[in-house]
Amino acid sequence: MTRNHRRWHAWLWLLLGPLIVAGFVVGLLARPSPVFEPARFSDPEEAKKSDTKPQPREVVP
Amino acid sequence: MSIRYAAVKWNRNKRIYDCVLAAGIVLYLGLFFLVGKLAWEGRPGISDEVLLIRALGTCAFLLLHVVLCIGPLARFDRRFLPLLYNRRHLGVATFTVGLFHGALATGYYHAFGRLNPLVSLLSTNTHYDSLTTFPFETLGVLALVILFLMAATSHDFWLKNLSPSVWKALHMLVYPAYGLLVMHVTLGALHSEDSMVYVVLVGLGVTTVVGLHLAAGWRERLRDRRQPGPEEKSNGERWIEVCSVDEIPENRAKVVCLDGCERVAVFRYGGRISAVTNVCAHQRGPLGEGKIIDGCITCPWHGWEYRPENGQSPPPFQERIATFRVRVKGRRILLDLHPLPPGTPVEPARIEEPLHDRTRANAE
Repeated sequence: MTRNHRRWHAWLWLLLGPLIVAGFVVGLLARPSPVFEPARFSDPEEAKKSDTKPQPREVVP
Repeated sequence: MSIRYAAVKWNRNKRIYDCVLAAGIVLYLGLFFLVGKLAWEGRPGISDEVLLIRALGTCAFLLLHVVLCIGPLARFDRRFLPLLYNRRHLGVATFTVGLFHGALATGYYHAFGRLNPLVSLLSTNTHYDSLTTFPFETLGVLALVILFLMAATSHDFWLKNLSPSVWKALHMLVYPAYGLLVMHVTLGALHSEDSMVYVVLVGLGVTTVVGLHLAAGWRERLRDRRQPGPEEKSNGERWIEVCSVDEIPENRAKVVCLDGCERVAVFRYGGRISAVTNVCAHQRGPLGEGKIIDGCITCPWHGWEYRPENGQSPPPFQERIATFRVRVKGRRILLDLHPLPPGTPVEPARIEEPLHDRTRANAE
């Protein structure tokens, strides 16, 4: 490698390295929190409501 | 590079390298599929197609880590040099596996609508302002475009026609491509998986790649900043003492790094000393880390050869590198730091054998 290329390489990693690590960390922080669904029809009242709920229409793109 | 091109100049080493690479990829995909079947058994949404998409994606990501780690590892330990020899095939394999992953994922998730799958892939999700629902697929597509550019220009034909500097600059795009892929994986796969195992694995990969490159860069910077040895002036010329003859093993070189100058490789062979630039004309490989084989300096990266006494490749090749004037005074090697035009013949300096060696040789 030429001296110039080594310099370019070093500067690129000095800039890109922290950027990649920061992107990774920020990406992880933005992870959606896990959704816990309640057990279906555990409550008889809820089950009754569910039966009467209108079903969503199927959307064809 | 200077005589004629062939699609791939096969030799035994390249065949072994490629066979190991292909076998490794097939083995990884098979193992991932089998283990995935057992680990995700009964989980909704994990069909065979999804397993294959994941296997191909993780394989390409892993291969890219290997590609990126080979360079700095070879700078720390010579035993990694054989991996560097055919790194371009590894890069092309990475692109190919990545392409299969992209094509399969696009087909599986976007081929059943009215829109063209590629249009659907790029236009369905436009939440660029939210990290939680960011269209991570776009990042994968961008990285794949860069990997395609690199795979398409990986041949020596492009290296010769674009010039090594432009070619090197183009191929440094692999680093931004790596950044894009890290984000593609983080915002895609890591957002859909709850397990911390994947987070730790990706984190380890990122730390290794970034850490190795920064460490190698720092080491090279320290080497470049070395101060020159004592100077000698004769007839208005500046000669720098670089090392003792005994510091250089037979058929090997000492790389001289001086502040503000390009590195010089000082070779010892058959009782003679010659000095050439440390930069190979092919891909700027470090000639001083190679050795003299059959009378030629052989680049450790791709085996390009130069005669130490004139810096010229043996016929029919026409590559030339800069040579340097060198002197031996007692056991000390003196070097004129001004490079001579590439291919200039320079009389090698003769090593004066120590007196006791000469006496022993005469007695024999």
